[in-house]
Amino acid sequence: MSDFLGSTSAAASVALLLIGAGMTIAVSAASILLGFVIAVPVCIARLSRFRVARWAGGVYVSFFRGVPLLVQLLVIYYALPSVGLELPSFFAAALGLAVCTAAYQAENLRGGFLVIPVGQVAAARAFGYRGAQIWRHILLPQALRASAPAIVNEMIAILKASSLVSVVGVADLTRVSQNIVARDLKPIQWYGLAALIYLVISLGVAALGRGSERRLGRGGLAAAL
Amino acid sequence: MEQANADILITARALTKSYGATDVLHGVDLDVRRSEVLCIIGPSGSGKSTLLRCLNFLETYQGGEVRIGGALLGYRLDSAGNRRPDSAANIARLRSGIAMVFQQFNLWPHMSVLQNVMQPLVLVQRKPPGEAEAIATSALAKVGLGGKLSSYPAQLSGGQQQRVGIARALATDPAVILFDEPTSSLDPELVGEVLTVIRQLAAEGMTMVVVTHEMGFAAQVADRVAFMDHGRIVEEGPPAVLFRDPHSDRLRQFLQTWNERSRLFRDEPAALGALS
Amino acid sequence: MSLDWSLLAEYAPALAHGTLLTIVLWLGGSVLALGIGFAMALLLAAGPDFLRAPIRCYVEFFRGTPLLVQLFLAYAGGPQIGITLSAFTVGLWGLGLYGGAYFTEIFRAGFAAIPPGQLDAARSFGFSRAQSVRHVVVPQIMVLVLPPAVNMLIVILKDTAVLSILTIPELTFQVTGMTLETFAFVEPYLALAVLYWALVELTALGGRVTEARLTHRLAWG
Repeated sequence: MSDFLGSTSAAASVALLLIGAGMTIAVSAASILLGFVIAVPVCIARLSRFRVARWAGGVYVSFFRGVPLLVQLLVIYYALPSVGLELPSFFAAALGLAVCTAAYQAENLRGGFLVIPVGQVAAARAFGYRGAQIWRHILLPQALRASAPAIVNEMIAILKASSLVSVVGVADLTRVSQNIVARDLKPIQWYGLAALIYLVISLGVAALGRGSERRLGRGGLAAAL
Repeated sequence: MEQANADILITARALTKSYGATDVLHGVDLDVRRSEVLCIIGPSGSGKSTLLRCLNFLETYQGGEVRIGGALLGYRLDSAGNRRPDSAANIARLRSGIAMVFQQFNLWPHMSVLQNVMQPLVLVQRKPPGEAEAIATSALAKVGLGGKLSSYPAQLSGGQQQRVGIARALATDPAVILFDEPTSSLDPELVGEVLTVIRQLAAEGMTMVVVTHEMGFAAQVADRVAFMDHGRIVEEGPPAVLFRDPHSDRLRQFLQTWNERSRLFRDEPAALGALS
Repeated sequence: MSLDWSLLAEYAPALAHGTLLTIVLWLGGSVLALGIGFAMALLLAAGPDFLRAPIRCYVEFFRGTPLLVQLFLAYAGGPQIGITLSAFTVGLWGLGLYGGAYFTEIFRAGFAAIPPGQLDAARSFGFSRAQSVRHVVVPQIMVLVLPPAVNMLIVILKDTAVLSILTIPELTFQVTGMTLETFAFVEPYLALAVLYWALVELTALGGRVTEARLTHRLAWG
């Protein structure tokens, strides 16, 4: 067994990989949440009555979907310190992923809003709902429910994209597997195992997504909010 | 049967078909004779369309046999006498004498009307484009669409699209045309123009099998009517006999419902008159 | 923070080479991906049943794992089993196989969206499988497939940057090299970002124009 998996104790290496996987999940989760926080105002801007807001939202989405993630990470990790903002690796990475995913999440949310029949806002207004109430009780819950599948897809996308943070000094799954291979060789085994772990995590997220869709059911998420 | 075998174009014997665990056809026997119009009627789910689609092997059947001009369709017998699925080429060859008109028209939306009618001639019968165009043009003129050659299906009404479908079938010079509920997808005011074309073909002696809900049409145009229920042909015979004096309870029930419905909507009063 | 233009002049050859290589990798990878994806989708729809499982495995693996890990696996793993591939080859085929998995899904969805009745009609008239694909499926699939296909082309363009990690000297690699030598980080990276942005927007524009041209005749309603 040790010959197949390299000289260092295989168990130790597997443990390191799993810790790396934990880091991957952590940085992904952080960027998904931060990304969502950024995405909501961007989405609102995109749907706004004001042309300037719509334009600004559009530029944000266009830029962060048009620039490769790697370049965005390099900018945050190397260029920001030049202008005085130095962030530790994890936060730089999470920020880089977050501003990127925010663009995609904003578009997913926008899609969710666009499916809501127009009449609902009219009905709400007729019943005396004010703007913020309409957003909170009518629009947001339904938009979230409608865009849930796209949000799950985006989560899986971030998980895979997070492999790039290995380049900016985060000890994620990819970086750890690189280190193991550098020390012990046997790249097929260790990169293969890393790939498998990514696959399992993705499938897990997908299954969770389907499960919560089913459990929350038709009125579920909306009712929960 | 007094008629010579050469006059029976398609036969089905003991035809059975199932979708997974559900049986759809339970041993159907059917003959399609030259120049006759055979209408198949029955309630939804009785297996009418499935039966029709087995006749040109668009649906596979599991038991019994379908023969086109005596040749087994869909299967071949190997050296040991076992039945094996036939080659796609053989099936296509046997199918070439049978044309089909569909409920959903199934025109190819990215081709013009003329191209739709020409395609089978060029691709399957390998006719030179000039000849194919001439045949297609005359078929379209025959169904009254000579002025729509360069239109696209999306620009036509349902009735016009179905007439293109009929022209497409006619152009291939078939021995038999199968109609799968040709007017069921049409708005009521468009049904007449399609039935008129089918009536004209019948008058010219085209052999046709028509699955339909239009009882008035069946009463007036069919030579024979077969009533299907739950995957079996329950009754069969000339429309005058079948409609005026049904033997089976199921057919009686079926006609009763139809009579009540058509009295309500005053549908085809002339046909009603012919039946009463 | 003024950009030192002399820097650009000094590095112009390297940047030009990098851009050229980026374009080559992008177009080459895209062609490979399109070809692989179309072939796989065709096999899924009309091919022998025993191919279904292997193709699904291929799709799940290349869509479910990061591109970077796939590239490492191929680049470092090759020599382990005696196959030494150049970084360029790994990069090109890596993009092709990765994109191919996504295109398989895109084309599969396109095939599935063609109303089966049209294929019934073709079959009933005696069209062979090949004829059905060529005359009924492909012309219509173009319109359905175009938006997701353009998106994927953009993804492949952006992913050429990842190839820099394998030290393939495309544009990002060149610019990174430039920053390490000149210690100017802001301008080069920002310029790099804007360049990619421009390419992506141009591609998206091209996609919209092509889509408009293709849809004017087809009304699905």
